[in-house]
Amino acid sequence: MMGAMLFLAASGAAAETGVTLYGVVDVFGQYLNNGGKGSWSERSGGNSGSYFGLKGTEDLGGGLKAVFNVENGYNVNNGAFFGDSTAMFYRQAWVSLAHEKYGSITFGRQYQPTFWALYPSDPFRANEVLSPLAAAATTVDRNTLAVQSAGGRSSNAVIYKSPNVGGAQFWGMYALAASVTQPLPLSTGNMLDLAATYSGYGLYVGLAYQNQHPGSKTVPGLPAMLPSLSTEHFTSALSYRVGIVNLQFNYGYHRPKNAAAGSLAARLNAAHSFSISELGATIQATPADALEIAGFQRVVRGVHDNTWGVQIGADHGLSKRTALYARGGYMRNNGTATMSWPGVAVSSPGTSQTLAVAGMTHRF
Amino acid sequence: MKIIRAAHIAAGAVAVAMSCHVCAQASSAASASGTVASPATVSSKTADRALRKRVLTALARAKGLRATGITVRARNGAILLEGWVPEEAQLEQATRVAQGVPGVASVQNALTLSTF
Repeated sequence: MMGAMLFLAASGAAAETGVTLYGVVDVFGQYLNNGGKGSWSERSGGNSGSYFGLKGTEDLGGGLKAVFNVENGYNVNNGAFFGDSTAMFYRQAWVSLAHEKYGSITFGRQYQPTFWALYPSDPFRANEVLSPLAAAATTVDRNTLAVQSAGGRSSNAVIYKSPNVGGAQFWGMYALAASVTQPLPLSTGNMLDLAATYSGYGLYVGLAYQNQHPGSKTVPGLPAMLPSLSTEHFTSALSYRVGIVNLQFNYGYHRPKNAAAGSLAARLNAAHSFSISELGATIQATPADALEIAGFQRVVRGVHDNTWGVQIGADHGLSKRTALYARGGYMRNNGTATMSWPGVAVSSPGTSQTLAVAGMTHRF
Repeated sequence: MKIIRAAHIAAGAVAVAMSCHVCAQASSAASASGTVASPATVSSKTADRALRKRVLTALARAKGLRATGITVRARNGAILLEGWVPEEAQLEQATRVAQGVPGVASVQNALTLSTF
Protein backbone atom coordinates (compact mmCIF):
# COMPACT_ATOMS: atom_id res chain seq x y z
CA MET A 1 0.00 0.00 0.00
CA MET A 2 2.84 2.33 0.89
CA GLY A 3 4.51 1.95 -2.50
CA ALA A 4 1.32 2.84 -4.34
CA MET A 5 0.77 5.86 -2.10
CA LEU A 6 4.32 7.09 -2.66
CA PHE A 7 3.96 6.63 -6.39
CA LEU A 8 0.78 8.67 -6.37
CA ALA A 9 2.33 11.37 -4.25
CA ALA A 10 5.35 11.51 -6.54
CA SER A 11 3.27 11.75 -9.70
CA GLY A 12 1.28 14.59 -8.19
CA ALA A 13 -2.07 12.85 -8.40
CA ALA A 14 -5.11 14.61 -7.01
CA ALA A 15 -5.24 14.70 -3.23
CA GLU A 16 -8.72 13.19 -3.04
CA THR A 17 -7.59 10.06 -4.86
CA GLY A 18 -6.56 6.96 -2.95
CA VAL A 19 -5.16 3.74 -4.35
CA THR A 20 -4.76 0.57 -2.33
CA LEU A 21 -2.55 -2.40 -3.14
CA TYR A 22 -3.93 -5.50 -1.50
CA GLY A 23 -3.84 -9.26 -1.85
CA VAL A 24 -3.76 -12.79 -0.51
CA VAL A 25 -1.02 -15.42 -0.38
CA ASP A 26 -2.62 -18.78 0.31
CA VAL A 27 -0.85 -22.15 0.16
CA PHE A 28 -1.84 -25.65 1.20
CA GLY A 29 -0.67 -29.25 1.13
CA GLN A 30 -3.16 -31.72 -0.25
CA TYR A 31 -3.75 -35.45 -0.04
CA LEU A 32 -6.26 -36.67 -2.60
CA ASN A 33 -7.59 -40.18 -2.96
CA ASN A 34 -9.02 -40.36 -6.48
CA GLY A 35 -10.90 -43.63 -6.84
CA GLY A 36 -8.40 -45.57 -4.73
CA LYS A 37 -5.31 -43.82 -6.07
CA GLY A 38 -3.59 -41.48 -3.61
CA SER A 39 -1.50 -38.43 -4.47
CA TRP A 40 0.20 -35.56 -2.65
CA SER A 41 0.52 -32.01 -3.93
CA GLU A 42 1.27 -28.45 -2.92
CA ARG A 43 -1.40 -26.05 -4.16
CA SER A 44 -2.65 -22.48 -3.95
CA GLY A 45 -5.83 -20.78 -2.76
CA GLY A 46 -7.66 -23.32 -0.59
CA ASN A 47 -9.13 -20.81 1.88
CA SER A 48 -9.22 -17.81 -0.45
CA GLY A 49 -7.73 -17.68 -3.92
CA SER A 50 -4.21 -16.17 -4.07
CA TYR A 51 -4.37 -12.75 -5.72
CA PHE A 52 -3.19 -9.20 -5.65
CA GLY A 53 -5.09 -6.16 -6.78
CA LEU A 54 -5.30 -2.42 -6.98
CA LYS A 55 -8.41 -0.50 -6.07
CA GLY A 56 -9.21 3.12 -5.64
CA THR A 57 -11.88 5.77 -5.44
CA GLU A 58 -12.17 9.39 -6.41
CA ASP A 59 -14.78 11.63 -4.85
CA LEU A 60 -16.55 13.48 -7.65
CA GLY A 61 -18.77 15.53 -5.34
CA GLY A 62 -22.56 15.49 -4.94
CA GLY A 63 -22.51 11.96 -3.51
CA LEU A 64 -20.88 10.61 -6.66
CA LYS A 65 -17.66 8.57 -6.74
CA ALA A 66 -15.52 6.95 -9.41
CA VAL A 67 -14.31 3.53 -8.28
CA PHE A 68 -11.98 1.03 -9.94
CA ASN A 69 -10.65 -2.43 -9.16
CA VAL A 70 -8.23 -4.68 -11.02
CA GLU A 71 -7.38 -8.04 -9.44
CA ASN A 72 -4.98 -10.72 -10.63
CA GLY A 73 -5.13 -14.40 -9.72
CA TYR A 74 -2.00 -16.50 -9.25
CA ASN A 75 -0.74 -19.79 -7.84
CA VAL A 76 1.70 -19.28 -4.99
CA ASN A 77 3.08 -22.84 -5.18
CA ASN A 78 4.66 -22.23 -8.62
CA GLY A 79 4.17 -18.53 -9.39
CA ALA A 80 1.96 -19.18 -12.41
CA PHE A 81 -1.18 -17.25 -13.34
CA PHE A 82 -4.39 -18.72 -11.94
CA GLY A 83 -6.85 -20.15 -14.47
CA ASP A 84 -5.77 -18.31 -17.61
CA SER A 85 -2.15 -17.29 -18.33
CA THR A 86 -3.34 -14.79 -20.97
CA ALA A 87 -5.44 -12.85 -18.45
CA MET A 88 -3.57 -10.25 -16.43
CA PHE A 89 -6.60 -9.62 -14.22
CA TYR A 90 -8.37 -12.97 -14.21
CA ARG A 91 -10.45 -12.27 -11.12
CA GLN A 92 -11.76 -8.74 -11.59
CA ALA A 93 -11.22 -5.70 -13.81
CA TRP A 94 -13.80 -2.94 -13.65
CA VAL A 95 -14.54 0.74 -13.32
CA SER A 96 -17.67 2.13 -11.75
CA LEU A 97 -19.73 5.23 -11.09
CA ALA A 98 -21.27 4.96 -7.64
CA HIS A 99 -23.86 7.24 -6.09
CA GLU A 100 -24.70 6.91 -2.41
CA LYS A 101 -28.46 7.31 -3.02
CA TYR A 102 -28.99 5.77 -6.46
CA GLY A 103 -26.59 2.82 -6.48
CA SER A 104 -23.72 2.02 -8.81
CA ILE A 105 -23.14 1.05 -12.41
CA THR A 106 -20.03 -0.99 -13.12
CA PHE A 107 -18.33 -1.96 -16.38
CA GLY A 108 -15.84 -4.77 -17.03
CA ARG A 109 -15.07 -8.25 -15.74
CA GLN A 110 -16.83 -8.81 -12.44
CA TYR A 111 -18.69 -11.13 -10.10
CA GLN A 112 -22.17 -12.07 -11.28
CA PRO A 113 -25.27 -11.13 -9.27
CA THR A 114 -25.88 -14.88 -8.85
CA PHE A 115 -22.50 -15.15 -7.11
CA TRP A 116 -23.29 -12.32 -4.68
CA ALA A 117 -26.63 -13.93 -3.81
CA LEU A 118 -25.11 -17.39 -3.32
CA TYR A 119 -21.78 -17.02 -1.52
CA PRO A 120 -23.11 -16.04 1.98
CA SER A 121 -24.94 -19.41 2.10
CA ASP A 122 -21.79 -21.51 1.55
CA PRO A 123 -19.65 -22.37 4.62
CA PHE A 124 -16.65 -22.52 2.23
CA ARG A 125 -17.45 -19.06 0.77
CA ALA A 126 -17.72 -20.32 -2.83
CA ASN A 127 -13.92 -20.76 -2.96
CA GLU A 128 -13.09 -21.82 -6.51
CA VAL A 129 -10.36 -24.28 -5.53
CA LEU A 130 -11.91 -26.33 -2.70
CA SER A 131 -15.60 -25.46 -2.14
CA PRO A 132 -18.22 -28.12 -2.90
CA LEU A 133 -20.22 -25.49 -4.84
CA ALA A 134 -17.36 -24.84 -7.25
CA ALA A 135 -16.76 -28.59 -7.50
CA ALA A 136 -20.37 -29.28 -8.45
CA ALA A 137 -20.55 -26.37 -10.92
CA THR A 138 -17.35 -27.34 -12.78
CA THR A 139 -17.97 -31.10 -12.95
CA VAL A 140 -17.27 -32.54 -16.41
CA ASP A 141 -20.22 -34.93 -16.68
CA ARG A 142 -21.25 -36.61 -19.93
CA ASN A 143 -24.92 -36.12 -19.06
CA THR A 144 -24.56 -32.35 -18.77
CA LEU A 145 -21.75 -31.60 -21.26
CA ALA A 146 -23.94 -29.29 -23.36
CA VAL A 147 -25.21 -27.36 -20.30
CA GLN A 148 -23.41 -24.12 -19.44
CA SER A 149 -22.20 -23.41 -15.91
CA ALA A 150 -22.79 -20.02 -14.29
CA GLY A 151 -19.08 -19.49 -13.65
CA GLY A 152 -19.25 -16.82 -10.95
CA ARG A 153 -17.70 -14.02 -13.01
CA SER A 154 -18.55 -12.44 -16.36
CA SER A 155 -16.44 -10.50 -18.84
CA ASN A 156 -17.89 -7.69 -20.99
CA ALA A 157 -20.45 -7.03 -18.29
CA VAL A 158 -22.50 -4.08 -17.07
CA ILE A 159 -23.94 -4.37 -13.58
CA TYR A 160 -26.36 -2.10 -11.76
CA LYS A 161 -26.29 -2.50 -7.99
CA SER A 162 -28.88 -0.78 -5.84
CA PRO A 163 -27.98 0.88 -2.55
CA ASN A 164 -28.66 -1.11 0.61
CA VAL A 165 -32.21 -0.17 1.62
CA GLY A 166 -33.15 -1.54 5.05
CA GLY A 167 -31.04 -4.64 4.47
CA ALA A 168 -32.41 -5.29 0.95
CA GLN A 169 -30.33 -5.03 -2.20
CA PHE A 170 -30.86 -5.64 -5.91
CA TRP A 171 -28.41 -6.47 -8.74
CA GLY A 172 -28.97 -6.56 -12.49
CA MET A 173 -26.35 -7.62 -15.04
CA TYR A 174 -26.12 -7.85 -18.78
CA ALA A 175 -22.94 -9.34 -20.25
CA LEU A 176 -22.03 -9.57 -23.91
CA ALA A 177 -20.60 -12.72 -25.47
CA ALA A 178 -17.05 -13.64 -24.44
CA SER A 179 -14.37 -16.15 -25.44
CA VAL A 180 -11.37 -17.53 -23.60
CA THR A 181 -8.62 -19.95 -24.70
CA GLN A 182 -7.66 -21.28 -21.25
CA PRO A 183 -7.91 -23.56 -19.40
CA LEU A 184 -9.80 -24.85 -22.47
CA PRO A 185 -11.29 -22.82 -25.35
CA LEU A 186 -14.78 -21.69 -24.32
CA SER A 187 -17.31 -19.19 -25.68
CA THR A 188 -20.28 -17.90 -23.76
CA GLY A 189 -23.26 -16.11 -25.27
CA ASN A 190 -24.84 -12.93 -23.96
CA MET A 191 -26.21 -13.33 -20.48
CA LEU A 192 -28.75 -11.74 -18.18
CA ASP A 193 -28.44 -12.08 -14.43
CA LEU A 194 -30.76 -10.70 -11.74
CA ALA A 195 -30.47 -11.07 -7.98
CA ALA A 196 -32.13 -9.80 -4.82
CA THR A 197 -30.91 -10.26 -1.26
CA TYR A 198 -32.22 -9.45 2.19
CA SER A 199 -30.26 -9.44 5.41
CA GLY A 200 -31.57 -8.64 8.91
CA TYR A 201 -32.51 -10.14 12.30
CA GLY A 202 -29.87 -12.85 11.75
CA LEU A 203 -31.62 -13.99 8.57
CA TYR A 204 -30.15 -13.93 5.07
CA VAL A 205 -32.14 -14.64 1.90
CA GLY A 206 -30.77 -14.51 -1.64
CA LEU A 207 -32.60 -15.23 -4.89
CA ALA A 208 -31.06 -15.12 -8.36
CA TYR A 209 -31.89 -15.90 -11.97
CA GLN A 210 -29.40 -16.17 -14.81
CA ASN A 211 -30.11 -16.76 -18.49
CA GLN A 212 -27.18 -17.64 -20.76
CA HIS A 213 -27.47 -17.60 -24.53
CA PRO A 214 -25.86 -20.47 -26.46
CA GLY A 215 -22.07 -20.74 -26.64
CA SER A 216 -19.56 -23.46 -27.33
CA LYS A 217 -16.98 -25.36 -25.34
CA THR A 218 -14.10 -27.76 -25.69
CA VAL A 219 -14.65 -31.23 -24.29
CA PRO A 220 -11.56 -33.44 -24.00
CA GLY A 221 -12.09 -36.44 -26.28
CA LEU A 222 -14.43 -34.69 -28.74
CA PRO A 223 -12.94 -33.82 -32.16
CA ALA A 224 -14.60 -30.39 -32.39
CA MET A 225 -16.03 -27.76 -30.03
CA LEU A 226 -19.41 -28.72 -28.62
CA PRO A 227 -22.16 -26.11 -29.09
CA SER A 228 -23.55 -25.46 -25.62
CA LEU A 229 -27.23 -24.79 -25.11
CA SER A 230 -28.99 -21.75 -23.80
CA THR A 231 -29.13 -22.37 -20.05
CA GLU A 232 -31.17 -20.95 -17.18
CA HIS A 233 -29.83 -20.96 -13.62
CA PHE A 234 -32.25 -20.61 -10.69
CA THR A 235 -30.52 -19.98 -7.38
CA SER A 236 -31.84 -19.69 -3.85
CA ALA A 237 -29.77 -19.12 -0.73
CA LEU A 238 -30.70 -18.99 2.93
CA SER A 239 -28.90 -18.59 6.20
CA TYR A 240 -29.95 -18.01 9.79
CA ARG A 241 -27.81 -17.16 12.78
CA VAL A 242 -28.48 -18.97 16.07
CA GLY A 243 -25.95 -17.70 18.61
CA ILE A 244 -22.48 -18.55 17.30
CA VAL A 245 -23.86 -20.89 14.61
CA ASN A 246 -24.75 -19.70 11.11
CA LEU A 247 -27.01 -22.32 9.50
CA GLN A 248 -26.63 -22.20 5.72
CA PHE A 249 -28.56 -23.69 2.82
CA ASN A 250 -28.58 -23.23 -0.94
CA TYR A 251 -30.26 -24.83 -3.89
CA GLY A 252 -29.57 -24.20 -7.56
CA TYR A 253 -31.42 -25.63 -10.54
CA HIS A 254 -29.67 -25.52 -13.93
CA ARG A 255 -31.90 -26.06 -16.93
CA PRO A 256 -30.76 -26.11 -20.58
CA LYS A 257 -33.10 -25.49 -23.53
CA ASN A 258 -34.00 -28.74 -25.27
CA ALA A 259 -31.34 -29.83 -27.75
CA ALA A 260 -32.50 -29.64 -31.38
CA ALA A 261 -33.15 -33.08 -32.90
CA GLY A 262 -30.02 -34.37 -34.62
CA SER A 263 -27.73 -31.81 -32.95
CA LEU A 264 -24.50 -32.94 -31.33
CA ALA A 265 -25.92 -32.23 -27.86
CA ALA A 266 -28.94 -34.43 -28.64
CA ARG A 267 -26.88 -37.23 -30.16
CA LEU A 268 -24.58 -37.27 -27.13
CA ASN A 269 -27.63 -37.12 -24.82
CA ALA A 270 -25.69 -34.40 -22.98
CA ALA A 271 -28.43 -31.87 -22.19
CA HIS A 272 -29.84 -33.00 -18.84
CA SER A 273 -30.93 -30.50 -16.21
CA PHE A 274 -29.22 -30.80 -12.86
CA SER A 275 -29.45 -29.38 -9.37
CA ILE A 276 -26.86 -28.58 -6.73
CA SER A 277 -27.89 -28.36 -3.10
CA GLU A 278 -25.91 -27.79 0.04
CA LEU A 279 -26.83 -27.72 3.74
CA GLY A 280 -24.23 -26.67 6.26
CA ALA A 281 -23.11 -24.43 9.06
CA THR A 282 -20.33 -22.09 10.08
CA ILE A 283 -19.60 -22.18 13.80
CA GLN A 284 -17.64 -19.34 15.38
CA ALA A 285 -16.23 -21.42 18.22
CA THR A 286 -13.93 -18.68 19.58
CA PRO A 287 -12.95 -15.25 18.24
CA ALA A 288 -10.00 -16.96 16.50
CA ASP A 289 -11.61 -20.25 15.48
CA ALA A 290 -14.29 -20.97 12.90
CA LEU A 291 -15.51 -24.45 11.99
CA GLU A 292 -17.30 -25.25 8.75
CA ILE A 293 -19.41 -28.25 7.86
CA ALA A 294 -21.51 -29.04 4.79
CA GLY A 295 -23.38 -31.88 3.15
CA PHE A 296 -24.06 -31.51 -0.56
CA GLN A 297 -25.58 -33.19 -3.57
CA ARG A 298 -25.34 -32.89 -7.34
CA VAL A 299 -28.37 -34.55 -8.90
CA VAL A 300 -28.79 -34.98 -12.67
CA ARG A 301 -32.37 -35.23 -13.90
CA GLY A 302 -33.43 -38.19 -16.03
CA VAL A 303 -30.44 -40.43 -15.20
CA HIS A 304 -29.16 -42.25 -12.12
CA ASP A 305 -25.72 -40.63 -12.08
CA ASN A 306 -25.65 -38.55 -8.92
CA THR A 307 -23.14 -37.44 -6.34
CA TRP A 308 -23.35 -36.68 -2.63
CA GLY A 309 -20.63 -35.62 -0.28
CA VAL A 310 -19.60 -34.03 2.99
CA GLN A 311 -16.90 -31.50 3.75
CA ILE A 312 -15.53 -30.10 7.00
CA GLY A 313 -13.15 -27.26 7.66
CA ALA A 314 -11.41 -25.36 10.44
CA ASP A 315 -9.88 -21.88 10.33
CA HIS A 316 -7.62 -20.66 13.10
CA GLY A 317 -6.70 -16.97 13.03
CA LEU A 318 -3.19 -16.04 14.16
CA SER A 319 -3.98 -12.35 13.56
CA LYS A 320 -6.49 -10.28 11.60
CA ARG A 321 -4.50 -11.09 8.44
CA THR A 322 -2.98 -14.54 8.89
CA ALA A 323 -4.72 -17.86 9.48
CA LEU A 324 -4.06 -21.58 9.43
CA TYR A 325 -6.73 -23.81 7.98
CA ALA A 326 -7.66 -27.43 7.29
CA ARG A 327 -10.26 -29.06 5.05
CA GLY A 328 -11.45 -32.62 4.71
CA GLY A 329 -14.01 -33.99 2.28
CA TYR A 330 -15.58 -37.09 0.83
CA MET A 331 -17.64 -37.49 -2.34
CA ARG A 332 -19.55 -40.57 -3.39
CA ASN A 333 -20.24 -40.84 -7.15
CA ASN A 334 -23.17 -43.09 -7.98
CA GLY A 335 -23.73 -44.67 -11.40
CA THR A 336 -21.25 -43.11 -13.80
CA ALA A 337 -21.10 -39.72 -12.03
CA THR A 338 -17.71 -37.95 -12.23
CA MET A 339 -17.66 -35.20 -9.60
CA SER A 340 -14.50 -34.26 -7.72
CA TRP A 341 -12.91 -31.03 -6.48
CA PRO A 342 -12.33 -28.37 -9.15
CA GLY A 343 -9.62 -29.27 -11.64
CA VAL A 344 -9.49 -32.95 -10.61
CA ALA A 345 -10.33 -35.45 -13.36
CA VAL A 346 -11.75 -38.59 -11.75
CA SER A 347 -9.72 -41.75 -12.42
CA SER A 348 -12.89 -43.43 -13.65
CA PRO A 349 -16.66 -42.76 -13.46
CA GLY A 350 -18.50 -43.83 -10.33
CA THR A 351 -15.46 -43.67 -8.04
CA SER A 352 -15.40 -42.02 -4.62
CA GLN A 353 -13.10 -39.09 -3.85
CA THR A 354 -11.42 -38.19 -0.55
CA LEU A 355 -9.49 -35.03 0.22
CA ALA A 356 -7.50 -33.77 3.22
CA VAL A 357 -5.58 -30.48 3.23
CA ALA A 358 -3.79 -28.17 5.63
CA GLY A 359 -2.73 -24.67 4.69
CA MET A 360 -1.89 -21.11 5.59
CA THR A 361 -3.40 -17.92 4.27
CA HIS A 362 -1.93 -14.44 4.62
CA ARG A 363 -3.50 -11.14 3.60
CA PHE A 364 -1.86 -7.80 2.87
CA MET B 1 1.70 2.94 7.26
CA LYS B 2 3.68 0.09 8.77
CA ILE B 3 3.40 1.62 12.19
CA ILE B 4 -0.32 2.06 11.78
CA ARG B 5 -0.65 -1.52 10.64
CA ALA B 6 1.40 -2.77 13.57
CA ALA B 7 -0.84 -0.71 15.84
CA HIS B 8 -3.91 -2.29 14.24
CA ILE B 9 -2.53 -5.76 14.73
CA ALA B 10 -1.59 -4.97 18.29
CA ALA B 11 -5.04 -3.49 18.91
CA GLY B 12 -6.57 -6.59 17.33
CA ALA B 13 -4.52 -8.88 19.52
CA VAL B 14 -5.50 -6.86 22.58
CA ALA B 15 -9.15 -6.98 21.53
CA VAL B 16 -8.96 -10.75 21.06
CA ALA B 17 -7.22 -11.17 24.40
CA MET B 18 -9.73 -8.91 26.12
CA SER B 19 -12.68 -10.65 24.54
CA CYS B 20 -11.35 -14.04 25.67
CA HIS B 21 -11.01 -12.59 29.14
CA VAL B 22 -14.58 -11.28 29.01
CA CYS B 23 -15.87 -14.66 27.82
CA ALA B 24 -14.11 -16.40 30.66
CA GLN B 25 -15.49 -13.92 33.18
CA ALA B 26 -19.01 -14.10 31.85
CA SER B 27 -19.07 -17.88 31.73
CA SER B 28 -17.77 -18.19 35.28
CA ALA B 29 -20.40 -15.68 36.39
CA ALA B 30 -23.07 -17.71 34.61
CA SER B 31 -21.95 -20.99 36.18
CA ALA B 32 -21.87 -19.36 39.61
CA SER B 33 -25.51 -18.34 39.31
CA GLY B 34 -26.43 -21.49 37.34
CA THR B 35 -27.93 -23.35 40.29
CA VAL B 36 -30.66 -20.78 40.89
CA ALA B 37 -32.34 -19.39 37.77
CA SER B 38 -33.13 -15.96 39.12
CA PRO B 39 -35.67 -13.88 37.16
CA ALA B 40 -33.03 -11.19 36.69
CA THR B 41 -30.73 -13.61 34.82
CA VAL B 42 -33.57 -14.79 32.60
CA SER B 43 -34.65 -11.28 31.69
CA SER B 44 -31.09 -10.15 30.98
CA LYS B 45 -30.61 -13.17 28.71
CA THR B 46 -33.81 -12.24 26.86
CA ALA B 47 -32.60 -8.66 26.62
CA ASP B 48 -29.22 -9.81 25.29
CA ARG B 49 -30.90 -11.96 22.68
CA ALA B 50 -33.02 -9.03 21.50
CA LEU B 51 -30.00 -6.74 21.55
CA ARG B 52 -27.99 -9.23 19.47
CA LYS B 53 -30.76 -9.24 16.83
CA ARG B 54 -30.84 -5.43 16.76
CA VAL B 55 -27.08 -5.28 16.28
CA LEU B 56 -27.22 -7.90 13.49
CA THR B 57 -29.95 -5.90 11.77
CA ALA B 58 -28.09 -2.60 12.13
CA LEU B 59 -24.96 -4.20 10.63
CA ALA B 60 -26.97 -5.65 7.74
CA ARG B 61 -28.50 -2.23 6.99
CA ALA B 62 -25.26 -0.25 7.15
CA LYS B 63 -24.21 1.15 3.78
CA GLY B 64 -20.84 -0.03 2.54
CA LEU B 65 -20.56 -2.80 5.13
CA ARG B 66 -20.68 -6.46 4.10
CA ALA B 67 -22.07 -8.02 7.25
CA THR B 68 -22.83 -11.58 6.14
CA GLY B 69 -19.66 -12.92 7.82
CA ILE B 70 -20.17 -11.24 11.20
CA THR B 71 -21.14 -13.22 14.31
CA VAL B 72 -22.51 -11.15 17.21
CA ARG B 73 -22.43 -12.14 20.87
CA ALA B 74 -24.18 -10.10 23.56
CA ARG B 75 -23.62 -10.39 27.33
CA ASN B 76 -25.26 -7.87 29.64
CA GLY B 77 -25.17 -5.26 26.90
CA ALA B 78 -21.51 -5.90 26.02
CA ILE B 79 -21.17 -6.76 22.33
CA LEU B 80 -18.48 -8.99 20.83
CA LEU B 81 -18.08 -8.94 17.04
CA GLU B 82 -16.45 -12.04 15.50
CA GLY B 83 -16.05 -13.43 12.00
CA TRP B 84 -14.91 -11.46 8.99
CA VAL B 85 -15.35 -8.45 6.71
CA PRO B 86 -13.66 -7.90 3.33
CA GLU B 87 -11.98 -4.53 3.91
CA GLU B 88 -9.95 -2.87 6.64
CA ALA B 89 -12.24 0.19 6.72
CA GLN B 90 -15.18 -2.09 7.48
CA LEU B 91 -13.48 -3.36 10.65
CA GLU B 92 -13.87 0.04 12.25
CA GLN B 93 -17.21 0.71 10.61
CA ALA B 94 -18.65 -2.44 12.22
CA THR B 95 -17.61 -1.18 15.66
CA ARG B 96 -19.16 2.26 15.00
CA VAL B 97 -22.45 0.74 13.78
CA ALA B 98 -22.68 -1.58 16.80
CA GLN B 99 -21.91 1.31 19.18
CA GLY B 100 -24.81 3.25 17.65
CA VAL B 101 -27.42 0.62 18.58
CA PRO B 102 -29.48 1.66 21.64
CA GLY B 103 -28.77 -0.59 24.63
CA VAL B 104 -25.20 -1.42 23.63
CA ALA B 105 -22.90 -0.77 26.59
CA SER B 106 -19.59 -1.63 24.95
CA VAL B 107 -18.23 -3.15 21.75
CA GLN B 108 -15.26 -5.47 21.35
CA ASN B 109 -14.12 -6.15 17.83
CA ALA B 110 -12.42 -9.48 17.04
CA LEU B 111 -13.23 -9.35 13.31
CA THR B 112 -10.68 -10.56 10.80
CA LEU B 113 -10.26 -9.85 7.08
CA SER B 114 -11.59 -12.06 4.30
CA THR B 115 -11.99 -11.93 0.52
CA PHE B 116 -15.79 -11.41 0.31
